[in-house]
Amino acid sequence: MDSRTRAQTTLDFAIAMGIFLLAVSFVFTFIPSLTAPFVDGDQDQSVASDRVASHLSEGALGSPDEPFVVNQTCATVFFDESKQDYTAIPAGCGYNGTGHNERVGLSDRLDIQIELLHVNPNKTGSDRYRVVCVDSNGDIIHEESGTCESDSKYRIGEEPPDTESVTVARRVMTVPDCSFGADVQSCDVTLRVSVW
Amino acid sequence: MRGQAYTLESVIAAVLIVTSLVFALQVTAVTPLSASTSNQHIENQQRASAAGVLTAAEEAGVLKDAVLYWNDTAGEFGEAERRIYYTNGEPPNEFGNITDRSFSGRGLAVNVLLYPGNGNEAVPMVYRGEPSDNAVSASRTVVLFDDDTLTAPGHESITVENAGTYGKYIPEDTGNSGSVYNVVRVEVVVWRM
Repeated sequence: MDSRTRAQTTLDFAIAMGIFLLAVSFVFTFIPSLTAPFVDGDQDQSVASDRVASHLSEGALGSPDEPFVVNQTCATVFFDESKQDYTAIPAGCGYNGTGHNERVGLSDRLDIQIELLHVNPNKTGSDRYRVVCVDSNGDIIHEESGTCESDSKYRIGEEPPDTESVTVARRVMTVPDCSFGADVQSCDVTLRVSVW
Repeated sequence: MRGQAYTLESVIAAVLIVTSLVFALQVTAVTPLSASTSNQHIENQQRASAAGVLTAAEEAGVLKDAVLYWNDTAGEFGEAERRIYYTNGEPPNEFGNITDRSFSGRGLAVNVLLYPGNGNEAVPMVYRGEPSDNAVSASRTVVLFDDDTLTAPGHESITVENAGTYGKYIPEDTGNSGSVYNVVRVEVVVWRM
């Protein structure tokens, strides 16, 4: 009597577990956002990149009463590797400190790259972005519209790695009195902040 | 009897899981920082970019030119097709180029609307459809004077005051007697497609 009853329960138990496991797998397959807030470990990076981009575009590289307008004097020193000491900062610039991490208020634990780029909307990939720099007359150009002075590129920080997750924040800014070529009347540039 | 009980238990367990999931989703889990297409950081970034585009256009003096880029004969914005506004691309002027450089190729849609002063109806300049719930906007005002001329090729000799069709969409603000034609608020609306 006992053995016949057990045979029944094993079969039934299999069906039961099947239904149960289906329910569990359904929950985790169709609702991935259930675990997303706990798996996603880049929240600090996205907050940091967004804050740095806002800080630079709305004050540090220019003046807070003219947000999104780059002050060339402040920007040239900010992006110059040889002028990272706090004594090199011109008066009236909205940043201070030694080294670019300290100037944007970021701990050394996070790596950062900051660039000012001119976009070519007709190209894709890395050809799309041309780094803004200064030519021998002191005019603002980009790397394809003229010859950059050495070390004058508006880019600071290491190249972001391919193997880690990199968080990027962008802002659209303008550099007054630029010479981006005869066919470009305006001076809009993209500020790109990469944090990893 | 025992077999019956197991099936019933599993069904109850499945129902329990789904109910607790619904409860959990209602109570918590999706924070403003969760990665998704409607992330608060992305919206902040788009709003700041839209403000940056307007600043760049204004600094270069091309924002007002874009507002005046009007084909007076056809009664539409210069080189717009089928409608008075642009539906399939950015305006063929420098303001359009700035918008293109800033937003194209990133899965973003942009509407540009003009709000003439004195409570007139909004005039679309670029219209890509109804914005999503997560759209953001930035705006800037442009002052038009009576003797400002249109900027579309072939219409540069016509002032806004004497234009035949411009006033139909952006009428003169009759509330002021001076040389100001109207004050137009340019609004850029950006959202992820």
